[in-house]
Amino acid sequence: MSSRLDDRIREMMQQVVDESPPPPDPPIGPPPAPVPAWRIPNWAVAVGAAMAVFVLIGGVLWLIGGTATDVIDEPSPSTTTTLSLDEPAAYDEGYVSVAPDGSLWAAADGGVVRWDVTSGTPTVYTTEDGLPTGDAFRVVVGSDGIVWTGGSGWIARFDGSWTTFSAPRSEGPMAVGPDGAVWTAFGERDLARFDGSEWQTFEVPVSLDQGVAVPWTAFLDVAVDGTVWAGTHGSQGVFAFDGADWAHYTSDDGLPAPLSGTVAAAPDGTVWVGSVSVDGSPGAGVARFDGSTWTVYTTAEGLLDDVPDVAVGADGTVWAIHQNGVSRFDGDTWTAFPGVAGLGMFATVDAFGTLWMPARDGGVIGFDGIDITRLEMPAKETASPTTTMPDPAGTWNPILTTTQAGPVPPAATCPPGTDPDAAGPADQEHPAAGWTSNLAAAFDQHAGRILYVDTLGETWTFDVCTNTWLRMNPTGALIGELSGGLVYDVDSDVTVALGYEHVSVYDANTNTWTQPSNDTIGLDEGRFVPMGAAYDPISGLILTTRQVRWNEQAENAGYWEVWAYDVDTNDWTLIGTVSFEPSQAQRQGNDTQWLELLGYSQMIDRLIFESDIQTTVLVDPRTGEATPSTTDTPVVDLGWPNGVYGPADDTVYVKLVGEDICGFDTSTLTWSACFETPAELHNNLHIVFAAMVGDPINQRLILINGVGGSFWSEATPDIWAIDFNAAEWTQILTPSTP
Amino acid sequence: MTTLTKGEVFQRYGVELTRFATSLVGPADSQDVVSDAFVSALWSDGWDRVEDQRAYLYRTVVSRARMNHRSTTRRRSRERRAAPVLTVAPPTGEVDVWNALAHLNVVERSVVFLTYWEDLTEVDVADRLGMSERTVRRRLGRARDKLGRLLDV
Repeated sequence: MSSRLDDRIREMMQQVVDESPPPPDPPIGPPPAPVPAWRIPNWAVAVGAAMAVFVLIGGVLWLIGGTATDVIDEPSPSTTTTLSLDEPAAYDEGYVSVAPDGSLWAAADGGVVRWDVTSGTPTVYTTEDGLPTGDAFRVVVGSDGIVWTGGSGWIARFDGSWTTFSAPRSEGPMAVGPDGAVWTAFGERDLARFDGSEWQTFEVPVSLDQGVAVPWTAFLDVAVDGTVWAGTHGSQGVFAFDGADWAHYTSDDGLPAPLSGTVAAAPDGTVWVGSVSVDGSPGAGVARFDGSTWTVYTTAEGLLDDVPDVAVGADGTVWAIHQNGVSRFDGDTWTAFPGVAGLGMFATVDAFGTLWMPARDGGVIGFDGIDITRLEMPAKETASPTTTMPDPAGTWNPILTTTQAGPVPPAATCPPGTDPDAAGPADQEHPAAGWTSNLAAAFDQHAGRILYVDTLGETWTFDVCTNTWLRMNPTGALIGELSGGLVYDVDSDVTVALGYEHVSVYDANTNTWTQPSNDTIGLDEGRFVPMGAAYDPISGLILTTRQVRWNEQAENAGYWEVWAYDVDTNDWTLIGTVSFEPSQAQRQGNDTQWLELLGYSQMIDRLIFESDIQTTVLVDPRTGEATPSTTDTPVVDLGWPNGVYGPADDTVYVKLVGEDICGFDTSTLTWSACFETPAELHNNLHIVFAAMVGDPINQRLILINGVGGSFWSEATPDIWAIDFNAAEWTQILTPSTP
Repeated sequence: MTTLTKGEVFQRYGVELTRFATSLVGPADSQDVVSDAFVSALWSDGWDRVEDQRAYLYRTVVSRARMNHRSTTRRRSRERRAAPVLTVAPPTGEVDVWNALAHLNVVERSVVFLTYWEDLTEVDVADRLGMSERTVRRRLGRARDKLGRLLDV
């Protein structure tokens, strides 16, 4: 049946295809090592060469990427569109899990729902009850009755109240082991185990090749012996990890193929795997593993159909869930129940053998082989009002002049007897090397340490006097993806994480992450994306920027707003807009401009922006006066796989692929404070760093985790420091473990 | 199984993957995403062992599109989509496609494109993208709900 909406969407897809460009030039060769092109005066040429991928086809050299493909289409002027983003009227259920007390739990859009199955009474837990966000993906309950839920970048534990922890950023599955530890999957081949305080990660051996689907597994379960079972899609089979060794089972071992990815561990130690036929060929069903042999059950053994999901109860009852019915296994034969249909996924079985699964039309249904019980999803309350933002005034707000920072306690110094130039202990625990766009660091001047958020979202500090890492295991968690990075607020003595959707605040004195507001930033969900940030020591406020709209008066330019954030009051204040009209020569074929706030210099009292058209823009935070400069401005194209930047020594430094590190010289107003990268770091290693941040105690720039390789697959946990005075590079940490 | 050369793989799937990528990141970035996906996939160590190359490439495109969104450079695209004007590319036609798609995430766009352009079933979409049917069903439902309200249908 085709509805009017379906017809409209098809029209849209037709338009997408009509406006689709031709395919790119064909790649017929591997990406080469980065071109060592530093010291080329024209930064754009250097970076373009370093980013380009040259390939050979039929004797012809092709160029992929580089500046040619970095040209951004200029949107035509448009009026502001107001769109309704209201949530559905009811919670949208997801995972369903049964607790030892018989209560039923479901992860839902908007929160987590618990039902008293006897009475059918639901209880809804939302951000008002302590959940960090309203987008829980999954919920599982351990044999100890502890409830775990989670979303991308966080998990939360419920034992009467919710406690939040950082987690790998993933939409992967979750399972609880017999020891109470939580397992999840992330990346393209990674498992993570959380024991309530620390995460451990384990990677499927590369030799057991998988696809690139993220997450790589849709279902996890933990067997009674602690073995973690991960079901994948298609022909990748099933993985088992016993804490030390991996096993991989595919159709070669007797599994039907392709699989649905669902796995369920039974109390007798057997493991069940569901499978679905993609092309209608026979053989799909459910497979049982007894530790040595896979036994496959299909419609020939009484199953109703293919098996998208399989669930096993504490009493050993096995249910196979089909698209339009279910089948139950009593240990000997299958009994089919056509017509008892749920969503076909995320089912669970309670202690009495009753199957529970999300219903197609909302809510949860239970089936014990005779009767169907229905639990309705509670109605969703209207979303609370979002933060009220001041109206754009069109003038520069004087708040940065009139607001004054409070007295600042003395900054930390290194204790006697420490040697900041001596390498830290090689065998120390340290953050995993790696690179994501969420890595960030800031220097806490009171504590005298660097605060660092790693690829798992875990919080660390780095002591610049002893060159040692310390895993903080804070209370609470940093929520959401970072966009503006970390900024240390000297006045308030907290570090602020500016994200796409949330602000999180870290207090080193209490070792706690908190979210000052449950609302997303700004007026409209997801519409305030802080782009870079800097602390203003004059006003004591944190400054950040966002793009608001394309300038309707200047046809080819957009403009940016500067906002101030007061972490003490959780107030956002619009300061004004930054815009400049580049010349045609400055555009160099790029029809638009992109500004990012890189840092602030108190010496010249200017915010330092960069533009993607090789222009540095200095903005007076007191008046809004913007001064563009094109003198030797690097193209600080900050994304994957380009460079990073970091504040230090009253200015900002940038690192570009294959380039040296250069800072903005506030005396000459040029990017001329450069430090040549040592030759040993140029051998396709350390082409960029996970984070860079200044160390004001020792007058150094700290470079965290060298990253190399064509696709960021090669990273080392080394820490380097550049002494500003001596212009010397020193490797201050070389961990003995990866 | 017939072994295709890398050039043949590109010739066979280049056009459809570019269309698919366009639905995910817009016409401005789709060639970049497809280039990245081909280079990443064709020269990966496991490419010769990939059985369903088409699905593998689709998943790679989705993965690259997600990186596109999450990387700092691609924050530009995201910001553009998130900004009040919500313009990804010059809007043409009666339906402001890019404006509407800006309200879907990458996975939702993937599911919508494969469902409504390639007419794949939920099972086929799940297999193509390497995700569960449940995810496909849920994402498609969310996407239809959003588009229904955006398009006032």
